[in-house]
Amino acid sequence: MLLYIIRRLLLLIFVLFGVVTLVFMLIHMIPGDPVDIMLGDHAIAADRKLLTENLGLNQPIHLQYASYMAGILRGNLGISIHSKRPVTDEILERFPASVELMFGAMVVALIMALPLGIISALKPYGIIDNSSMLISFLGISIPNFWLGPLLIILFSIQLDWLPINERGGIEHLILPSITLGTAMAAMLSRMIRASLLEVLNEEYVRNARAKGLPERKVILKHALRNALIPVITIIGLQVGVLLSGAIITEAIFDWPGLGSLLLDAIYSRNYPLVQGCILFIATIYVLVNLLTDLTYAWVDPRVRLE
Amino acid sequence: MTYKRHLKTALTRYVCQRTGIIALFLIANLLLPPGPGWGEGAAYAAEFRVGLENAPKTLDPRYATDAYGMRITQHLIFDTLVTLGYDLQIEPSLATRWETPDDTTYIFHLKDGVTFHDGTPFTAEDVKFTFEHLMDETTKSPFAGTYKGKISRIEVLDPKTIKFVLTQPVASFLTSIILPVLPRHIIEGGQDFPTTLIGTGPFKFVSQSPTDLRFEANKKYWEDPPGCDRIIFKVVKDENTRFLKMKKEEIDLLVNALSSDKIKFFASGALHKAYQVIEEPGISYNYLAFNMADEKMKDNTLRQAIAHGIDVDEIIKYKLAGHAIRARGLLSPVNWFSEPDVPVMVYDPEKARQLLDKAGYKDPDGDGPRTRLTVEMKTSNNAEITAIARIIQAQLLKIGIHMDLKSYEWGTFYGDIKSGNFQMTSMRWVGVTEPDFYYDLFHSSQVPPAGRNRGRYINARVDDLVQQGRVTLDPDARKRIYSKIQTIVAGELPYISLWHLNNVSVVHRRVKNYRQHPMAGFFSFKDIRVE
Amino acid sequence: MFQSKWTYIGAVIIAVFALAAIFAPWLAPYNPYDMRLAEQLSLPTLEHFMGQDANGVDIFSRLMHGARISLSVGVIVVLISGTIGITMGLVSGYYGGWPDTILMRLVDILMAFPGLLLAIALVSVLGPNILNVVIALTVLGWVSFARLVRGQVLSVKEREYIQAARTSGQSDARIMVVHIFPNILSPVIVQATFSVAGVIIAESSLSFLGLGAPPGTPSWGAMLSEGKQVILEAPHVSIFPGLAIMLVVMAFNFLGDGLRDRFDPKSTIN
Repeated sequence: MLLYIIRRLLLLIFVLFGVVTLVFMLIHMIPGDPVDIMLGDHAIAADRKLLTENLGLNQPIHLQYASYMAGILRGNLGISIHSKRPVTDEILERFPASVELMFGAMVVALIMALPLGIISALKPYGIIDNSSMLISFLGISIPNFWLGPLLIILFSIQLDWLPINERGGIEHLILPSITLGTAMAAMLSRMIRASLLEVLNEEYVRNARAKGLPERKVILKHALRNALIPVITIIGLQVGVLLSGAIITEAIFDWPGLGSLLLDAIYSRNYPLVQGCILFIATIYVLVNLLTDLTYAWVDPRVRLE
Repeated sequence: MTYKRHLKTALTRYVCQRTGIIALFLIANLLLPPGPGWGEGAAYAAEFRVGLENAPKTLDPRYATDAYGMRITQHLIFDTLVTLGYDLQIEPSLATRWETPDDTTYIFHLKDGVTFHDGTPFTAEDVKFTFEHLMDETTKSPFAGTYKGKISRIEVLDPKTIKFVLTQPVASFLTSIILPVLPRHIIEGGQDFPTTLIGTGPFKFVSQSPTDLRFEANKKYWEDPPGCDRIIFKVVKDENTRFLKMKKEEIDLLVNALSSDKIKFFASGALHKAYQVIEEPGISYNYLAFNMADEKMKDNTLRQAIAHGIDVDEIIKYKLAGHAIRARGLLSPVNWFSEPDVPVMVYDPEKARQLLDKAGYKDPDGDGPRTRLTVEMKTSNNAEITAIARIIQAQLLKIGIHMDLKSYEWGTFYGDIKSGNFQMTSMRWVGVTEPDFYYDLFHSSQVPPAGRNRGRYINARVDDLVQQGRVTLDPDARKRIYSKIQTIVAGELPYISLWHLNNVSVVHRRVKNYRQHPMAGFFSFKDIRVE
Repeated sequence: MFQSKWTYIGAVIIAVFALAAIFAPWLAPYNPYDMRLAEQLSLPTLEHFMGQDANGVDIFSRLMHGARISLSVGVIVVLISGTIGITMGLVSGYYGGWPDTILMRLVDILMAFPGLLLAIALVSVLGPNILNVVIALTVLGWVSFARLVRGQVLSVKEREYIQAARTSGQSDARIMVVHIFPNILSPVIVQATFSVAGVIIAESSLSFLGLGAPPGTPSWGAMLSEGKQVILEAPHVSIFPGLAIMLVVMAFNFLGDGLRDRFDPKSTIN
């Protein structure tokens, strides 16, 4: 087990190296000049050539790559082109907001999906199953840019219970979390239902039932643990998406997260910031998924880690 | 293993997992800085809340090149030597008056009793430092190119008088020095400038986060002190959210940040009671550009046909709900240099078809579905621009032109336009005040990467005129030169002029003395009062 | 019986949408490019029973034409990325060891990578058209199938019946296809049917970012993102494409359930 973890951590370096190289190639491959974008279509005169030189963008690409990698090895992610601030500062400034929103969305997803999924699986094709199915179809079909304003109108304007936007206390977190978590909840509840149904037909569950165990115990003890595997997988997979991909939700609720930072950075070809953001998100993602794999073994002792 | 024990572990693990997540969630919440609480709607009386579409990229005036960054630095935190008034004419600011003993010398007399936010007096040394610092290569300022090669030397004659000596006459010199005056003692003294932003302006910088920017009144401002105690800029990226925040009266002012669909809600009801809409002609300029180096597009007859085939008024009426005026050229009628009497291509599909025949693009099948020719138009992925391009596409189809419309993410698009990889495009210039901009756009030496003659327009007569315009100092003579340029360009059609968007401010009625500037700037913020 | 009825309903809905897509040019009451600016954002009427969009185009006609693009993009992307992902996941989970390590690290690299950057890169290098949207979404899509399947295989492969099959000398390929795959099918089908919706919505985000089909192309995604701008004043512009997406997801899900019952040996009870 320990050996497994150590090996995975070593591989992590390989993965991160791959990510950094891929990002570097892609971002420099797509057309667009950071200096031009920075100056925009404003009628001001400026010295483009000098700016390009100052940013080191006139150097051959392999030299830029080498100096960037050398910087990373020293723990230096570089300076953001626009704000002239260290990339690390810019990322750390946004990170807490992203983590907060990510947990909010996960909590919403689990609170909605677990009961719905379990009840649906116990009484398949019953009234609860059918309505939960409808809810989740609705959940997956409503785009965030629809749900967000709808929630604001209902809870902030009509009922005046919750603030419209911005980060703040826990009441500020509720609407963005629902917006971001609903699609995940929809998918999770169907997933839990499907894998529970499958497990309930397994021999060992039937055995447990035959032994006269109360249904609740059968479910909790035998069935649910197995049904949790896809849930854990999805949560692990969603970490990357929730950290960097909550662009629309972040925009609706003015949430100062990593998604909008990264999007702006890509749009403005802010190379150091794009690279830094992705390296940072990738590191977290890889660590979380190492945890996910460890959790498989923990939830289901039959899973062996090699 | 008994079932009971097994059940217990399963349950515990399950519960642990869930509580673990919740616990982490709570910890994440504890780590947060204390944010503003519930009652954001009930703001302090003298607090002025302004909504922005995007956060300014930086507030360091040496590097700020985006619209919001420039407005905040020039109008709030810092002052400039001269400014552009509400009529876009040069007006005194830190410089009370100036004289030009010859064509290449400017002597400015500076205002007495001006101090920086930290109490240090402002002198001519600060002015000298500002421009030398911007020109210094180690500063890496994008504005270096504005002055390098133009300013030959700067002399401090006495603490309140400063002399600029230029290498040649520069007609746009006074507009080009509209940049914040920096505090020499802070930057040269090695103190922290980017996070303190000490200036002489009517507001002091307080704090900045990705979602809000705070400023407080400079009570010792050299003019009347500001009428409101605090300004808070709220960055609200989503238009629907901006509108909903106005509905809840959490924002006092939005400038050009609502679409026409939303503005109409302010004409009646509760929103009308709370807010006032101020609309005036603006100076931004929407246009269609041709690539004159393209085989098809270099034909003036074809360009004229396209110009006659586009119903600009229909677009203004339906897509912009009338919040724009038809443009005749780059310079808006607000601008003193604009020439009203230029050739105008009115919408005339019949004439457009005749011109297409003349250009050799015959109609292959009368009323049938086949088109005369295909042209490609590239746009950025901006929703408004693509929506308008779609209407132009539909209009051109009526005269038998199939317009192949392609939209790209901004950086990619910009790269293509710059490298001349396009036939037609539609874009907008913002902040055009100085007619010398014609040099950037249409002088043959300004083909990218040197300048912004992206359409590769080359005309020796225009070259000659824009060059004259740069060095002619007499305003009336200069105006005559630019009139000629405007007439030639309107006939040759490197651009099809579309419209100038109006400036539309939606301002809460509790705000008094707000005045809209043609550049949509934050000029009047120092005068406003909040009741 | 109850179950097969739902399967049947699902099949009928999909058939209706498919027919609408195929015969849209003949069945649609209006031309989906025909703008009537004076009638922009009109509410549903007898002539335009879903109303008109921001350009006065008949929403119903656009929706029918949009079915061609959205359905085919959704189905094609899920089919290709599902096939790739399931194969990768099966191999990776079943064999473990180095194949697993390499595949899963590749998956990690791709997953850790923001899809948007990849999409922008692909579309800007290959050009903005619907085929490149399919490519971009497939490149991003197979990964989650692979990871899901691998996780399932890990939990199934140590079970008695798999061990039994192994000891009886069956080939690895046969074990994977005949014994493992049917047993992990349920979550995969859920993922696949929901992915169809996910892909249609992802196409909407891409077209919102200007990375999809050319502007004006009728696709449900484009209709949704155009509707976003007027969601407060004219919700009908985005409600109808939203409902269409929901119906399609539902139908695929019903069909998926039916498929599972057919292929999964264990869940035929009830």
